[in-house]
Amino acid sequence: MSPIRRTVVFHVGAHKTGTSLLQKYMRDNAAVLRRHRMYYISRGAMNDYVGWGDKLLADPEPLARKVRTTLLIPWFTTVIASHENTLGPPLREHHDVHLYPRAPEIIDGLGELLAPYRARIMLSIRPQEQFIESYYLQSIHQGRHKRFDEWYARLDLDALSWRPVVDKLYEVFGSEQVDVIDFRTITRGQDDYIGDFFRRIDPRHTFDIEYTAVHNPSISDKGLQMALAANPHLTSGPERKLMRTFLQEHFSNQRYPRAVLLTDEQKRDLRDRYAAEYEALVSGREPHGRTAGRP
Amino acid sequence: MTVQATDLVLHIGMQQSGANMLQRALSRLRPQLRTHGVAFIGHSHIADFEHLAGWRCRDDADAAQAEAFERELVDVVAHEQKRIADAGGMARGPVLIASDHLVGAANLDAADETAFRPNAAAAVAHVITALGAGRVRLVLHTRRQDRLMELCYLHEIQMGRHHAFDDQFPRRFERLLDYTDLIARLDALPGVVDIRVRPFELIGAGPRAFVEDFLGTLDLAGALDLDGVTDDLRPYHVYSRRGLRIALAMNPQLETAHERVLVRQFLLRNFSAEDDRWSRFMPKGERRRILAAYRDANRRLFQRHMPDLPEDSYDSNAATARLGSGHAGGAGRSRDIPASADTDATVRAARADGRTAQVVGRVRAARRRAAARAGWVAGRSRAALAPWVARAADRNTLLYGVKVRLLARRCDAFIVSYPKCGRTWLRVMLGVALSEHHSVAVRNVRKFTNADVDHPGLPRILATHDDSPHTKPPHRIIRSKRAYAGTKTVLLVRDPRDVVVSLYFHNTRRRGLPYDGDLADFVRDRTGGLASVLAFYDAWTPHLDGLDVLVVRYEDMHADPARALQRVLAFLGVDGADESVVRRAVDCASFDRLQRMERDGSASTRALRTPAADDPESYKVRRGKVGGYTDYLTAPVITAMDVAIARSSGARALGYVTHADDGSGRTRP
Repeated sequence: MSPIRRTVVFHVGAHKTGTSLLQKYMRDNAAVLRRHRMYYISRGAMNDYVGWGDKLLADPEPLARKVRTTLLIPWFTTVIASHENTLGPPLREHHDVHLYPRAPEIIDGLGELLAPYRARIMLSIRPQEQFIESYYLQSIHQGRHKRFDEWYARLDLDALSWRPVVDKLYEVFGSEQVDVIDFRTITRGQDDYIGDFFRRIDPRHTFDIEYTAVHNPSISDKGLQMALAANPHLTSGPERKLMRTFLQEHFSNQRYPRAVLLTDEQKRDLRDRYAAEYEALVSGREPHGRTAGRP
Repeated sequence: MTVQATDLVLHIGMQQSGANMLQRALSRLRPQLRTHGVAFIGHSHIADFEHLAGWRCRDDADAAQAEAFERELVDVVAHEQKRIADAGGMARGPVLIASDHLVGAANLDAADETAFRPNAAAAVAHVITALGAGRVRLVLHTRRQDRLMELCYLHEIQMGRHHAFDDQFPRRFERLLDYTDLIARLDALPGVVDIRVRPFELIGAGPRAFVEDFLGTLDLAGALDLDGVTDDLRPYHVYSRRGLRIALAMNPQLETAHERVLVRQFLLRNFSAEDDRWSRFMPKGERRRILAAYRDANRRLFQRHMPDLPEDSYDSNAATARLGSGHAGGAGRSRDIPASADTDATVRAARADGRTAQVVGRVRAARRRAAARAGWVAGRSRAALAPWVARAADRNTLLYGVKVRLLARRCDAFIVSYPKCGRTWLRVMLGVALSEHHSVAVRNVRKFTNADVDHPGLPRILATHDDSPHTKPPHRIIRSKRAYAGTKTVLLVRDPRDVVVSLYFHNTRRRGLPYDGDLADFVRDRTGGLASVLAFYDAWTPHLDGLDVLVVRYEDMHADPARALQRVLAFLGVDGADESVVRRAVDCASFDRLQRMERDGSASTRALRTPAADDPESYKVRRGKVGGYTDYLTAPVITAMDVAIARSSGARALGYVTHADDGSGRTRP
């Protein structure tokens, strides 16, 4: 059987849109996936293949070989790869294009890599005002210590559209092969969110999902202030992890008031700029005429 | 109730000078003190007083409060004396009160720059009056002024404050903390017949020596049994310099006492001073200026009150360090902590509490000294050969035989395995079991399988990877195992497929060795890959009948670790290890525990420290799963491995039969 007839599902992010939940589910339920003839390439392995998108561009062969050899196994019809860093780092202060400034070149590289296969691209997105707040808090977890106002002031608010990423994916892979997932649907429940992901791969996938992921609480406003104060003194990854764990355990938004980052006015501004476009993207109403990629 | 005593001994502090540690030791000694007629009242008693505020060590005490405090104090002392009398002890023995509040309740701060511990005399006088004591002896522990100020400041920060050191001690270069002045004020109190002054720095000789030195003031030195009393005591429980910086940054955000406790516990657990040095933050120049300012006063202090110690003991770091080294007179180096199971328990308790490595290190250091005195060898492996000799020997059959025989002369049994067969797990289980069974404690239980521990009745065991087969292609692996004749050998084996996967992650993630290829390539690699594992098994299995070999399979150990351990102990001639010992060994070496230790970095051995805690694949104790290779390898690769295993006589003899043999698709043990 030719590997060209098999499917490669590539979940490319974005950050802060439940990627860890999906990855953990697939890691913990590899046997279930196998029964459904799906093979999941673990996130750990994907780290080596993808990096921040740079490894994928510099040397795509290891990932290509992994996909190739996996699809040689007659049993598997689908390979699933997921890594939120695939599109590169978001919200770089000096970017000049959009949310994920390195995405176009990486998507081109990804297109070449997946050219021999039927590719399905999954991109989860969330509204800009949520994405910005959530990504900022993650950067604090990772040890940065710039105050939100300062960080936000350096963003180009006109360049926060998801559309360039989505359009590039449409261009390279074809709009019908690209699924734009609305992260807000996670409010219906984690199991439903995971199930929706697999139904998008194949509507026939109806296996029961009952999964309790480890909750990853956000830090509260007090926790944020403490992290901002302490982070400049932390010098290693393990130290930052210790601090993150401590703050999440004792100073999360479940115990203290949530961190208020964007003002109502700022949120309104972002919604005015992007809400309509966002709704169109997640509803699939705008496949655009730019589907120049493969059918 | 009335107090019977006329003889009163007051340990009055100083703060940050071991007072708390001493109080804890005395609390543990209370039953023994009672048998000597000593009624001991610790600070914990006094801290419970409802009218503590009435004590005149506090500025805001009024007369009514003071009277209430006195009644409480008298009641407590009389109650303790009654207990002693009821037990048939001396009714009018001395009363010993230990509380650093006696020298002034608050921490040292700018107020001490008007008078060093301004409320000390009033507080002591209050207690003397309350108890109507006729003869009062005071004991005061001093601490060198620069460290005293540093520690008092650290204490304030640990309580949640966030001021600068300068704010607490603005005039630190002036000679304001003069012990001789304080002692003169106390000496003038009516009833005080003696003031015994000892330097805190004697703690360098160990907590036991420190407590013994204090008991000398009660004429009880050597009269009390201190075993188990001082093992876990530690004087330093403060932030490191970085902990201090983090606290200063975080404390302003804290609003409640609970939050302050949480942060303090977190920082003490993770950013604690590993030893005294790391809690020092004062610039050297400042320290020198302070020492110079106090030089004459401190020399006077030692001349008048501690004539058994050199008068220059507070002149410099080196001179102060000599106080605790046993070279300065006074207390000698600790002869204290016994290498016993108690110290193991201490270490375990310290770990369980998440305390710093300091207490563990202190206990271990004492344990090493005890082991050395007992004639054990707890240092570098006696069995170790120079690395270049070992490497050369592993590449030549003749030299290899010589090497094995040399090692065999130094041990009673070998544990032989290919890497990643669960050797660390077995070694930890075995080490804990031997440690508990023979009541021998060493710093690192893996020493039991390094032939590093000599103890009567204890087999000397040496764990080895034989001729380092993982570094060789199959044809270079030495097949003659005759050199093992006459020495018991435990051959530890594991499913070759799991071994290869584990070795790949060990090499690439844990050791960070570059590998030009992925896991499937590594499996096929002629050096270290599946072929090497199978060649190693093929080399050993023909000798299973001719040599004294016990085969232990990882899979059996995984299924029933207690039974596997019992088999090994029986094979090694360790008789009578009861079930509780085996159970404890299995628990201590459980996968979760070892992995947690590795994740936390709390393992005593570097072998159990991960280079990247956030990368589970880099752990020494990685997954501990039987058949985990299926999660990493594709079906064609697995099929190819199965075929190779089916062709290996060694693997088959060891019980690794695959679907290539029976068509079941599973490994059949």
